[in-house]
Amino acid sequence: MFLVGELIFFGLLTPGFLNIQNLLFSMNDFAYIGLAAIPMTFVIITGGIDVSVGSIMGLSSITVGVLWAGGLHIWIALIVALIVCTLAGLLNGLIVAFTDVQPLVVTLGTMFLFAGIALVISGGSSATGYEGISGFPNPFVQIANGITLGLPNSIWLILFFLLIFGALLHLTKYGRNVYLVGINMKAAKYSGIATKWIVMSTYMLAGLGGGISGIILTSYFSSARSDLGAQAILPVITAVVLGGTSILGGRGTVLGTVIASIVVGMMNYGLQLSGMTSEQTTIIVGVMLIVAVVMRRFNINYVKKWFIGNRSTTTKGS
Amino acid sequence: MSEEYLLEIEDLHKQFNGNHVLSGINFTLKKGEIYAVVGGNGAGKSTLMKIITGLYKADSGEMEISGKRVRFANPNDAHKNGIYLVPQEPLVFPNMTIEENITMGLKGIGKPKELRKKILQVINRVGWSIDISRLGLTLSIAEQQLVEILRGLVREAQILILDEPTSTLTHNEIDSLFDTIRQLSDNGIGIIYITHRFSEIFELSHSVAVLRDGKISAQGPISEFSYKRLLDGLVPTNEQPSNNITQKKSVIQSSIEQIGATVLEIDSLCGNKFQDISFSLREGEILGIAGVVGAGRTELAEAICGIKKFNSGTIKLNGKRIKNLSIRKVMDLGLAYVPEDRHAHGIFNITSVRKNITSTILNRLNGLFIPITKENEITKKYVNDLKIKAEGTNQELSDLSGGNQQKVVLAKYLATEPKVIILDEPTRGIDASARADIYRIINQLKERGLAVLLISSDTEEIVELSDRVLVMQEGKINKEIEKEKLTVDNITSAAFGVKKDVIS
Repeated sequence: MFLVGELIFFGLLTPGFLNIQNLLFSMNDFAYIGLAAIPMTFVIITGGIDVSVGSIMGLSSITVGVLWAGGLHIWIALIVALIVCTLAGLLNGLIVAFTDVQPLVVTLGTMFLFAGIALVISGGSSATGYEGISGFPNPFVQIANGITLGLPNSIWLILFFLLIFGALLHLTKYGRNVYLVGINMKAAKYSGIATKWIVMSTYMLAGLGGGISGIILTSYFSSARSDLGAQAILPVITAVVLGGTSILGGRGTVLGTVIASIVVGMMNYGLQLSGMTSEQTTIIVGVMLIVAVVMRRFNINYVKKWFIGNRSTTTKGS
Repeated sequence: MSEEYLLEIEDLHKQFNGNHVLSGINFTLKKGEIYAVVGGNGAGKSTLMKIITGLYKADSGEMEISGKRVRFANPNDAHKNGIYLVPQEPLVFPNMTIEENITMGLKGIGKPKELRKKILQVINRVGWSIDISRLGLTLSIAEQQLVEILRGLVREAQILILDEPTSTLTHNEIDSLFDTIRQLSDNGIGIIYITHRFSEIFELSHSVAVLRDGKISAQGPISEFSYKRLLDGLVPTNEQPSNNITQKKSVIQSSIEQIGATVLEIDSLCGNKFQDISFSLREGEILGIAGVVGAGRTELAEAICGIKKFNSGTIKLNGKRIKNLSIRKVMDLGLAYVPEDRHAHGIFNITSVRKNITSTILNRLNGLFIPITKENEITKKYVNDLKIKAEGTNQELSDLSGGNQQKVVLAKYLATEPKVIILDEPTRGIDASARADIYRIINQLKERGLAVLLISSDTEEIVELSDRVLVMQEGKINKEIEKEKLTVDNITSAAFGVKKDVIS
């Protein structure tokens, strides 16, 4: 991906960006985007989309918080939260796979549903939405903030996700089926592939990814809130699409998503270091997304043809 | 030229890539005349209608409307000259009212109020009662057809073309449609009526033209016609084996009969588009299923292989009843269905030959991960066996020719190692050499003892390959023909339901 080199080069221009230590630890700020974007890649490859993942992050966060505050052991609370989020994904998947409603509409609905449930849960405990639940035990806080073998844990987590989900998508029969369903759902059905199960399962993965992402956020801020991750959905989808996954389905890689997540994160970080406000960086990210997507189309379809066409006309002339 | 004709066509020719689709069509339509046009699949009916309605341009020949020489550049020109085609599947927008559906595209012709008045006038004139404020989605198919006819009439059409309007209608609806058509005819509108059903021709029309291979083989007032004469027009007189057939024959040496045990038994199977189907299929046998488009052949095949549900009856595969099984399970029991629509249901176009071929057998490969070497072996075997021309097994399907894509689809289903294979239009839209290859493959499958069910609208293909043929008409098996009696003539007559009366 020459795009990546180009963008990092851009980043390098800003002073103070070159500090490797800074760079690595800045990953903590946006690791959660990558963790949610990687499973989201599966959903988008099948030709779907899941915009409820942001709400699932909040649901995950508040579930851990409330269960822990209610006296449950923190690790058990964490596992329960992940199960809840996977079930939320299952609900998305069931509706998408077994009705004709478009995924965008379904998950737009469940986005409000899950956010509402998270709010109700947080209201049920004494924690208010804004203050959240804090005071988590140290081992839990260390998930996102700790260092292992000299690298921040969030980097290890991203690498771990890259390996597991990369292998799942590119090497397994399940991953192959995900692609085939995305390329031609009907042909997949006529080939005896359990298309409904495949579609449904990708939403479960996305739910699980959202859940893990929510827990990382909770750990990072050491505070459980129902609205955590509410702004995350657009960066997550941006990372997937920027990473080369076709929004029409059938194409995409996990590695692309990971790199794009890092690019987007670094970009934010670099621009902020150079003195831009976060509002201004949003503009840059938006422009970048549009340029990248248009460039991709442009590259393949027009530039080549234009060059070839040019060359052939010049040879004709000579 | 005389003014008495609404439409007059003289010596019309049309070629596509050197194929004569229409050669020397002469045709006249009078005021108030109902003119039936029949012909087999590919006889040139649609091309002729597309020329009349301005979608295609004729290579040569004259066309006159009410004595005035015309040349249409586009369908709009045809509309202006009073020609309107009612398509087989009515195009009615579900979320708009009848009025909006009718006036759509009529910009600048009149104010909404005047247009409404006009619509009501037209409805009155032909004596219908329909509320024009109803939404498109509340209409039955018959009513949608009325809306299409109204669209034409409001545009002051003098010539209405109806393309197989009864194919999706029930009996009562057909009767009322016929009344409508007669009323239109009384109003002086000329009607070209395209159909597959002989009975309708005699019931409704004043004149008939039979198209075969781009020529009108018989034409005249209905009183001069009998079933027999219509049929003679449809099939070539006597044996005139075209070069094409003899060529094909030489490619395929007819195999020695080696028909084995029964593998597939269908007993009184009923579904939405077919009723009471019974037949059996044995190892090493090619059973052809012929019939016109819409006779229910694909629906039958999809019910057998588990894609669609059936209502009653039994299917036995190797003596085992299959019902409500998934496509996967049916495939694992040894029955594969190669779908008719290659692009929609067959290929995965933006991925490799290899991934296409193994798409049906992923679940049979051991382990969680895909064994890459084994996958390559399987792919190479089928690429070689079927002579698929590709630059390696990683080439994308979208870069292959239609014939090679079809071979990949075939390979993908053969990879499931079926005992019974259903081929639905296996040679549609592919070139002659790929066609010969596919015929060769089908015969090889037969020699290997596979039971083959061959669905095809190409009657010559059916005659060429089959050991036995079932002819379907309107969802029923109309006739079974043994190999000795297999001729294009026999099949065509059964497909159009002609000899039915004679037999029963």
